[in-house]
Amino acid sequence: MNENEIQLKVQALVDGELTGREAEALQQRINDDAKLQHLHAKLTQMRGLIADSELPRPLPESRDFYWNKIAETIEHEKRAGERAAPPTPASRWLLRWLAPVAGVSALVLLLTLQQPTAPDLGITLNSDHELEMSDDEIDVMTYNSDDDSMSIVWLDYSMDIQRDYMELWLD
Amino acid sequence: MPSLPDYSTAEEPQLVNWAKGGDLQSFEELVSRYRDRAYARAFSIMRNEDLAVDLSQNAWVKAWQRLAQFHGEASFPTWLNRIVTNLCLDELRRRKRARMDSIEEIEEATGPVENRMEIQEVDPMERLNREELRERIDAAMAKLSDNHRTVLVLYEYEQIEYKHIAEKMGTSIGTVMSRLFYARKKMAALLGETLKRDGLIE
Amino acid sequence: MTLLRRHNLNRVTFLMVLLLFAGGGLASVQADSITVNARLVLGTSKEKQGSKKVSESIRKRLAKVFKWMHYHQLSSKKLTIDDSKIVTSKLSKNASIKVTNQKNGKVSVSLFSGGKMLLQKTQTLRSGQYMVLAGKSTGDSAWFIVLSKSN
Repeated sequence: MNENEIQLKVQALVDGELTGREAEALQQRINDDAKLQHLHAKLTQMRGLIADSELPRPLPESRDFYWNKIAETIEHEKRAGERAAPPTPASRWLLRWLAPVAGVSALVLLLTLQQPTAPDLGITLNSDHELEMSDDEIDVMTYNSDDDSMSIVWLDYSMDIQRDYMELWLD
Repeated sequence: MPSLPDYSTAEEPQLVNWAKGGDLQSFEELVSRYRDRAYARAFSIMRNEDLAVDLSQNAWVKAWQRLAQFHGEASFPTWLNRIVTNLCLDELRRRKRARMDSIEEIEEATGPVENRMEIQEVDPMERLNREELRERIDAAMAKLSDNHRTVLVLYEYEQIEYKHIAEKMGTSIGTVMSRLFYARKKMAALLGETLKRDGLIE
Repeated sequence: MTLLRRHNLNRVTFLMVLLLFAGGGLASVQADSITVNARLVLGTSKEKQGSKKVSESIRKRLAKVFKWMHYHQLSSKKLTIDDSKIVTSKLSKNASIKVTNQKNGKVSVSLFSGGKMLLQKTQTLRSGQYMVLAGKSTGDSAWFIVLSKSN
């Protein structure tokens, strides 16, 4: 065995992966070799340090938001009866920002993408809502809550636009 | 009229039984109790908040679907964290950062690791309290490659044997041993560096 | 004599009817005026010390839809807009809105950033309803302009 292989065997001994005669033989070798004893001690120390070191980490979201997504997916999969398809990049982005309202039927979501040849959109959402965009570098997504108590227009823009326009807002 | 059970004080096996019977509220209580742990495990591997949230949520959905397969051999959070880990491994495979891994794989293969990294003589436990040590270990883990961090999580946190780690990671036992060895030595080096940087050792 | 009295009564009746119409007209003009509350809100994952939080009713609505845990009110304006009139209001150094009263509770809100119009949203705004315009901001935060009809 070369030096590297011996070191890996020492590690296996520390990890309890060597048993029986192989373990006894290696232990004997370690007893006779100061360098291997040193390695054994350091590996044992490192193992002890890491095993109990997983940092507790609070979830960075509210309880309701986190649970709603789980419940929504369970309900969806139950109704679909098959694995949910992985979200498309655009909808994954959207799902990241929005919490699903309990019950798919309650969620009314319109995804409107900017038409590059139409710099000035007049978008009729329903008979009461109208939306007009005047910047063709900004996409928009709209959402109406099921009880109609809230309508949302979410603007989606690049980092450049954010830097040029939106970050000035909060001064 | 039967009254609703008090989920918040119910024992875990009872909650699991109710959930197996289709009681979503009892499952919600389980989520409430263990969501931080599931998230923390996902974050330990993925080191990205959004991904960790997504994957831990997916794990909860899978746990609901597989409840019939849970027979109490391990505790519920341990069983759940295994699902979390597996989903993270799947995700890592999809996102394999070949370049970073190959550099470290070369280091492993050519064996200069033990030459370049000195064995640290200092016991970090003598210089830091438990909380500080955990934070430094966590910071050091973040600097490892996905493969090295994963093998440490699987062995140290999940306490899975080499051969099962090899199966999960789709590699050989020899590679698992090499990665684990490299990861531990790198952790030791990184911890030593932070102690030196902070003036706790010379 | 009788004829004179009848004539006087008719004149009085006429004047009373005239007054009623005039009074009704005045009331109608006041009813078409609308008062809108406009708030500029910042949503963050971490709490900002020393900032004013939005009302619980707004926080609940936003938290139900968006992932951020904390919502801070950066500015608030109360705009009273007469029928068919426009009111412009600055919510921050560079953010302003132009609100048009289009009668019968319908409002049109134009959003400006640094003088440049970004969008115009028109809808009927009833009591208890919220119109929200939003987008991402620096770090893990987002801005919201929350409009509601004042009772």
